Amino acid sequence: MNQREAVQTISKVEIAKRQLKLAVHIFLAGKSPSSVITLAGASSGILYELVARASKEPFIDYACRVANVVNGHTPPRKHYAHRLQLRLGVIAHKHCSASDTDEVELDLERLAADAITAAIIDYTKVSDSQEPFVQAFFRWRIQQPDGAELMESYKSVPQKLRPQ
Amino acid sequence: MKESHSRFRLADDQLRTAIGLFVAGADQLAVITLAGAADGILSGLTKMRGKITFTESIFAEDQDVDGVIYASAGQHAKAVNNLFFVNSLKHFDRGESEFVQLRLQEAAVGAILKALANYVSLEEHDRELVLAFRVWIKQNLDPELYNVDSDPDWKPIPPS
Repeated sequence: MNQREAVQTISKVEIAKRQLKLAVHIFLAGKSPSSVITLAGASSGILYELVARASKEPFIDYACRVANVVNGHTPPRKHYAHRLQLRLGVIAHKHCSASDTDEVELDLERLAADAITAAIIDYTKVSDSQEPFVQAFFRWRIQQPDGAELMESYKSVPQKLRPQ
Repeated sequence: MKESHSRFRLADDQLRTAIGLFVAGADQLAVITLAGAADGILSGLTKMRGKITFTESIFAEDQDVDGVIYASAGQHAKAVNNLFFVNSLKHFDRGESEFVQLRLQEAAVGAILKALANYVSLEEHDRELVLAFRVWIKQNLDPELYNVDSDPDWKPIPPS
Protein backbone atom coordinates (compact mmCIF):
# COMPACT_ATOMS: atom_id res chain seq x y z
CA MET A 1 0.00 0.00 0.00
CA ASN A 2 0.97 3.65 -0.36
CA GLN A 3 3.18 2.80 -3.33
CA ARG A 4 2.73 5.43 -5.99
CA GLU A 5 2.33 4.21 -9.58
CA ALA A 6 5.55 4.28 -11.62
CA VAL A 7 6.04 6.89 -14.35
CA GLN A 8 5.68 5.44 -17.87
CA THR A 9 7.31 6.79 -21.01
CA ILE A 10 5.09 6.47 -24.07
CA SER A 11 5.95 7.61 -27.59
CA LYS A 12 3.62 9.81 -29.60
CA VAL A 13 3.37 7.13 -32.31
CA GLU A 14 2.25 4.63 -29.67
CA ILE A 15 -0.33 7.13 -28.34
CA ALA A 16 -1.70 7.72 -31.85
CA LYS A 17 -1.78 3.99 -32.61
CA ARG A 18 -3.50 2.90 -29.38
CA GLN A 19 -6.23 5.52 -29.73
CA LEU A 20 -6.83 4.76 -33.40
CA LYS A 21 -6.85 1.00 -32.80
CA LEU A 22 -9.46 1.36 -30.05
CA ALA A 23 -11.50 3.70 -32.27
CA VAL A 24 -11.59 1.00 -34.97
CA HIS A 25 -12.53 -1.69 -32.44
CA ILE A 26 -15.39 0.40 -31.00
CA PHE A 27 -16.54 1.29 -34.53
CA LEU A 28 -16.55 -2.27 -35.86
CA ALA A 29 -18.38 -3.41 -32.70
CA GLY A 30 -21.11 -0.88 -33.54
CA LYS A 31 -20.68 0.98 -30.25
CA SER A 32 -20.39 4.67 -29.33
CA PRO A 33 -19.75 6.63 -32.57
CA SER A 34 -19.10 9.72 -30.44
CA SER A 35 -16.16 7.98 -28.76
CA VAL A 36 -14.88 6.82 -32.16
CA ILE A 37 -14.92 10.40 -33.48
CA THR A 38 -13.01 11.73 -30.46
CA LEU A 39 -10.40 8.95 -30.41
CA ALA A 40 -9.78 9.10 -34.17
CA GLY A 41 -9.64 12.90 -33.96
CA ALA A 42 -7.06 12.75 -31.14
CA SER A 43 -5.01 10.27 -33.14
CA SER A 44 -5.14 12.56 -36.19
CA GLY A 45 -3.97 15.49 -34.07
CA ILE A 46 -0.75 13.60 -33.33
CA LEU A 47 -0.31 11.88 -36.68
CA TYR A 48 -0.03 15.13 -38.65
CA GLU A 49 3.32 15.98 -37.06
CA LEU A 50 4.55 12.36 -37.19
CA VAL A 51 3.87 12.19 -40.95
CA ALA A 52 5.49 15.60 -41.49
CA ARG A 53 8.60 14.51 -39.53
CA ALA A 54 8.79 11.44 -41.78
CA SER A 55 8.93 13.90 -44.75
CA LYS A 56 5.66 12.55 -46.13
CA GLU A 57 2.43 14.33 -47.04
CA PRO A 58 -0.08 14.52 -44.14
CA PHE A 59 -3.78 14.15 -44.93
CA ILE A 60 -4.48 17.85 -44.26
CA ASP A 61 -1.71 18.92 -46.66
CA TYR A 62 -3.13 16.52 -49.25
CA ALA A 63 -6.59 18.07 -48.77
CA CYS A 64 -5.07 21.55 -49.21
CA ARG A 65 -3.34 20.38 -52.41
CA VAL A 66 -6.64 19.03 -53.78
CA ALA A 67 -8.34 22.34 -52.88
CA ASN A 68 -5.62 24.16 -54.79
CA VAL A 69 -6.12 22.03 -57.92
CA VAL A 70 -9.92 22.31 -57.72
CA ASN A 71 -10.28 25.97 -56.63
CA GLY A 72 -7.02 27.50 -57.82
CA HIS A 73 -5.77 28.56 -54.39
CA THR A 74 -4.33 26.85 -51.32
CA PRO A 75 -6.26 27.48 -48.12
CA PRO A 76 -4.19 28.22 -44.99
CA ARG A 77 -3.35 24.83 -43.44
CA LYS A 78 -4.46 25.70 -39.87
CA HIS A 79 -7.73 27.12 -41.14
CA TYR A 80 -8.37 24.06 -43.29
CA ALA A 81 -7.46 21.69 -40.44
CA HIS A 82 -10.00 23.43 -38.20
CA ARG A 83 -12.64 23.23 -40.93
CA LEU A 84 -11.99 19.52 -41.33
CA GLN A 85 -12.29 18.98 -37.56
CA LEU A 86 -15.63 20.82 -37.67
CA ARG A 87 -16.85 18.70 -40.60
CA LEU A 88 -15.82 15.46 -38.91
CA GLY A 89 -17.69 16.42 -35.73
CA VAL A 90 -14.46 16.42 -33.69
CA ILE A 91 -15.02 19.98 -32.40
CA ALA A 92 -18.64 19.29 -31.39
CA HIS A 93 -17.40 16.33 -29.35
CA LYS A 94 -14.90 18.26 -27.23
CA HIS A 95 -16.07 21.88 -26.98
CA CYS A 96 -19.19 23.82 -26.13
CA SER A 97 -19.13 27.60 -26.22
CA ALA A 98 -21.56 30.25 -25.03
CA SER A 99 -22.84 30.80 -28.59
CA ASP A 100 -23.66 27.10 -29.14
CA THR A 101 -27.20 25.74 -29.05
CA ASP A 102 -28.10 22.81 -26.77
CA GLU A 103 -28.60 20.55 -29.80
CA VAL A 104 -26.37 19.79 -32.78
CA GLU A 105 -27.18 18.08 -36.12
CA LEU A 106 -24.76 15.26 -36.89
CA ASP A 107 -24.67 11.98 -38.83
CA LEU A 108 -22.70 10.18 -36.14
CA GLU A 109 -22.14 6.84 -37.93
CA ARG A 110 -20.88 8.48 -41.10
CA LEU A 111 -18.68 10.94 -39.24
CA ALA A 112 -17.17 8.09 -37.20
CA ALA A 113 -16.19 6.27 -40.42
CA ASP A 114 -14.82 9.48 -41.95
CA ALA A 115 -12.81 10.38 -38.83
CA ILE A 116 -11.17 6.95 -38.85
CA THR A 117 -10.48 7.21 -42.59
CA ALA A 118 -8.71 10.57 -42.19
CA ALA A 119 -6.57 9.22 -39.31
CA ILE A 120 -5.81 5.84 -40.85
CA ILE A 121 -4.50 7.42 -44.07
CA ASP A 122 -1.87 9.24 -42.00
CA TYR A 123 -1.22 6.20 -39.81
CA THR A 124 -0.30 4.01 -42.79
CA LYS A 125 2.38 6.57 -43.72
CA VAL A 126 4.26 6.12 -40.46
CA SER A 127 3.45 2.54 -39.57
CA ASP A 128 2.56 -0.90 -40.90
CA SER A 129 -0.52 -0.81 -43.12
CA GLN A 130 -0.81 -4.61 -42.79
CA GLU A 131 -1.68 -4.41 -39.08
CA PRO A 132 -4.93 -6.33 -38.43
CA PHE A 133 -6.94 -3.34 -37.20
CA VAL A 134 -5.97 -1.32 -40.30
CA GLN A 135 -6.86 -4.18 -42.63
CA ALA A 136 -10.12 -4.82 -40.76
CA PHE A 137 -11.21 -1.22 -41.31
CA PHE A 138 -10.24 -1.25 -45.01
CA ARG A 139 -12.17 -4.52 -45.47
CA TRP A 140 -15.21 -2.99 -43.81
CA ARG A 141 -14.99 0.09 -46.08
CA ILE A 142 -14.76 -1.96 -49.28
CA GLN A 143 -17.67 -4.15 -48.20
CA GLN A 144 -20.00 -1.14 -47.94
CA PRO A 145 -22.67 -0.79 -50.68
CA ASP A 146 -20.62 1.92 -52.44
CA GLY A 147 -17.27 0.15 -51.88
CA ALA A 148 -16.79 -1.27 -55.39
CA GLU A 149 -17.91 2.00 -56.98
CA LEU A 150 -15.46 3.93 -54.76
CA MET A 151 -12.56 1.70 -55.82
CA GLU A 152 -13.56 2.06 -59.47
CA SER A 153 -13.86 5.85 -59.32
CA TYR A 154 -10.42 6.12 -57.69
CA LYS A 155 -8.88 4.63 -60.84
CA SER A 156 -9.99 7.69 -62.79
CA VAL A 157 -8.52 10.18 -60.29
CA PRO A 158 -5.64 12.04 -62.03
CA GLN A 159 -2.17 11.50 -60.56
CA LYS A 160 -1.93 15.10 -59.34
CA LEU A 161 -5.06 14.60 -57.22
CA ARG A 162 -3.84 11.42 -55.54
CA PRO A 163 -2.22 11.24 -52.10
CA GLN A 164 1.59 11.12 -52.12
CA MET B 1 -28.41 10.36 -41.75
CA LYS B 2 -28.17 13.67 -39.90
CA GLU B 3 -30.03 13.72 -36.62
CA SER B 4 -30.32 16.15 -33.75
CA HIS B 5 -28.22 15.28 -30.68
CA SER B 6 -28.12 17.11 -27.37
CA ARG B 7 -24.62 18.23 -26.45
CA PHE B 8 -25.17 16.77 -23.00
CA ARG B 9 -25.79 13.33 -24.59
CA LEU B 10 -22.58 13.58 -26.65
CA ALA B 11 -20.67 14.22 -23.41
CA ASP B 12 -22.60 11.62 -21.39
CA ASP B 13 -21.88 8.93 -24.00
CA GLN B 14 -18.15 9.66 -24.01
CA LEU B 15 -17.91 9.84 -20.22
CA ARG B 16 -19.84 6.56 -19.90
CA THR B 17 -17.42 4.93 -22.39
CA ALA B 18 -14.41 6.35 -20.52
CA ILE B 19 -15.63 4.95 -17.20
CA GLY B 20 -16.53 1.62 -18.81
CA LEU B 21 -13.06 1.30 -20.35
CA PHE B 22 -11.41 2.32 -17.09
CA VAL B 23 -13.18 -0.20 -14.86
CA ALA B 24 -12.72 -2.92 -17.52
CA GLY B 25 -8.95 -2.32 -17.41
CA ALA B 26 -8.84 -1.25 -21.09
CA ASP B 27 -6.45 1.33 -22.55
CA GLN B 28 -6.24 4.25 -20.11
CA LEU B 29 -4.87 6.63 -22.75
CA ALA B 30 -8.30 6.47 -24.38
CA VAL B 31 -9.94 7.00 -20.98
CA ILE B 32 -8.09 10.31 -20.57
CA THR B 33 -8.98 11.50 -24.08
CA LEU B 34 -12.65 10.57 -23.76
CA ALA B 35 -13.07 12.00 -20.26
CA GLY B 36 -11.22 15.15 -21.35
CA ALA B 37 -13.47 15.59 -24.39
CA ALA B 38 -16.60 14.98 -22.33
CA ASP B 39 -15.38 17.55 -19.82
CA GLY B 40 -14.85 20.11 -22.59
CA ILE B 41 -18.58 19.89 -23.37
CA LEU B 42 -19.73 19.56 -19.75
CA SER B 43 -17.79 22.60 -18.55
CA GLY B 44 -19.24 24.61 -21.49
CA LEU B 45 -22.77 23.51 -20.58
CA THR B 46 -22.11 24.32 -16.91
CA LYS B 47 -21.14 27.89 -17.86
CA MET B 48 -24.10 28.22 -20.27
CA ARG B 49 -26.41 27.44 -17.35
CA GLY B 50 -24.86 30.13 -15.20
CA LYS B 51 -23.00 27.78 -12.89
CA ILE B 52 -19.38 27.68 -11.75
CA THR B 53 -17.21 25.02 -13.42
CA PHE B 54 -14.90 22.77 -11.42
CA THR B 55 -11.74 24.64 -12.49
CA GLU B 56 -13.37 28.02 -11.76
CA SER B 57 -14.20 26.73 -8.27
CA ILE B 58 -10.54 25.99 -7.49
CA PHE B 59 -9.00 28.97 -9.34
CA ALA B 60 -8.56 31.21 -6.26
CA GLU B 61 -7.30 28.30 -4.14
CA ASP B 62 -4.71 27.37 -6.78
CA GLN B 63 -3.27 30.89 -7.06
CA ASP B 64 0.22 31.35 -5.65
CA VAL B 65 0.64 27.68 -4.74
CA ASP B 66 4.41 27.06 -4.99
CA GLY B 67 4.75 30.60 -6.36
CA VAL B 68 2.66 29.93 -9.49
CA ILE B 69 0.34 32.80 -10.47
CA TYR B 70 -2.21 32.23 -13.25
CA ALA B 71 -2.85 35.28 -15.43
CA SER B 72 -6.37 34.15 -16.32
CA ALA B 73 -8.97 31.50 -15.59
CA GLY B 74 -8.31 30.11 -19.09
CA GLN B 75 -4.61 29.69 -18.40
CA HIS B 76 -5.44 27.94 -15.12
CA ALA B 77 -7.98 25.64 -16.83
CA LYS B 78 -5.33 24.65 -19.39
CA ALA B 79 -2.84 23.92 -16.59
CA VAL B 80 -5.37 21.64 -14.87
CA ASN B 81 -5.96 19.77 -18.14
CA ASN B 82 -2.18 19.45 -18.56
CA LEU B 83 -2.01 17.74 -15.15
CA PHE B 84 -4.03 14.92 -16.70
CA PHE B 85 -2.19 15.03 -20.08
CA VAL B 86 -5.45 15.74 -21.94
CA ASN B 87 -3.68 17.94 -24.50
CA SER B 88 -0.57 15.74 -24.89
CA LEU B 89 -2.79 12.87 -26.07
CA LYS B 90 -4.45 14.84 -28.88
CA HIS B 91 -1.81 17.36 -30.01
CA PHE B 92 1.77 17.13 -31.20
CA ASP B 93 3.45 20.42 -32.02
CA ARG B 94 6.53 21.18 -34.07
CA GLY B 95 9.64 20.92 -31.90
CA GLU B 96 7.83 18.98 -29.16
CA SER B 97 9.40 15.79 -27.74
CA GLU B 98 8.24 12.48 -29.27
CA PHE B 99 7.76 11.04 -25.79
CA VAL B 100 5.30 11.66 -22.97
CA GLN B 101 6.06 10.69 -19.36
CA LEU B 102 3.05 10.11 -17.16
CA ARG B 103 1.44 8.11 -14.38
CA LEU B 104 -1.33 6.66 -16.51
CA GLN B 105 -3.83 5.50 -13.88
CA GLU B 106 -3.46 8.69 -11.83
CA ALA B 107 -4.10 10.80 -14.92
CA ALA B 108 -7.08 8.68 -15.95
CA VAL B 109 -8.69 8.88 -12.48
CA GLY B 110 -8.07 12.64 -12.42
CA ALA B 111 -9.56 13.18 -15.88
CA ILE B 112 -12.71 11.21 -14.98
CA LEU B 113 -13.14 12.95 -11.62
CA LYS B 114 -12.76 16.39 -13.20
CA ALA B 115 -15.44 15.53 -15.78
CA LEU B 116 -17.71 14.07 -13.08
CA ALA B 117 -17.46 17.28 -11.02
CA ASN B 118 -19.02 19.19 -13.92
CA TYR B 119 -21.35 16.30 -14.84
CA VAL B 120 -23.05 16.27 -11.43
CA SER B 121 -23.67 20.02 -11.64
CA LEU B 122 -26.05 19.39 -14.57
CA GLU B 123 -29.61 18.29 -13.88
CA GLU B 124 -29.64 15.53 -16.52
CA HIS B 125 -26.78 13.60 -14.90
CA ASP B 126 -27.13 9.89 -14.16
CA ARG B 127 -26.64 9.32 -10.42
CA GLU B 128 -26.06 5.60 -10.97
CA LEU B 129 -23.07 6.24 -13.24
CA VAL B 130 -21.47 8.51 -10.64
CA LEU B 131 -22.20 6.05 -7.85
CA ALA B 132 -20.74 3.14 -9.84
CA PHE B 133 -17.44 4.96 -10.32
CA ARG B 134 -17.29 6.05 -6.68
CA VAL B 135 -17.86 2.46 -5.54
CA TRP B 136 -15.12 1.24 -7.89
CA ILE B 137 -12.71 3.84 -6.47
CA LYS B 138 -13.56 2.89 -2.90
CA GLN B 139 -12.99 -0.80 -3.59
CA ASN B 140 -9.87 -0.58 -5.74
CA LEU B 141 -7.75 2.47 -4.97
CA ASP B 142 -5.33 3.01 -2.11
CA PRO B 143 -7.04 5.31 0.45
CA GLU B 144 -3.63 6.69 1.45
CA LEU B 145 -3.05 7.98 -2.09
CA TYR B 146 -6.62 8.72 -3.25
CA ASN B 147 -9.52 10.49 -1.54
CA VAL B 148 -11.80 7.45 -1.89
CA ASP B 149 -14.47 8.81 0.49
CA SER B 150 -14.63 12.30 -1.08
CA ASP B 151 -13.69 13.76 2.31
CA PRO B 152 -13.14 17.55 1.93
CA ASP B 153 -10.51 17.49 4.72
CA TRP B 154 -8.56 14.53 3.30
CA LYS B 155 -4.83 14.90 2.66
CA PRO B 156 -2.63 12.31 0.92
CA ILE B 157 -0.02 10.50 3.01
CA PRO B 158 3.34 11.18 1.30
CA PRO B 159 4.46 8.08 -0.65
CA SER B 160 7.15 5.97 1.03
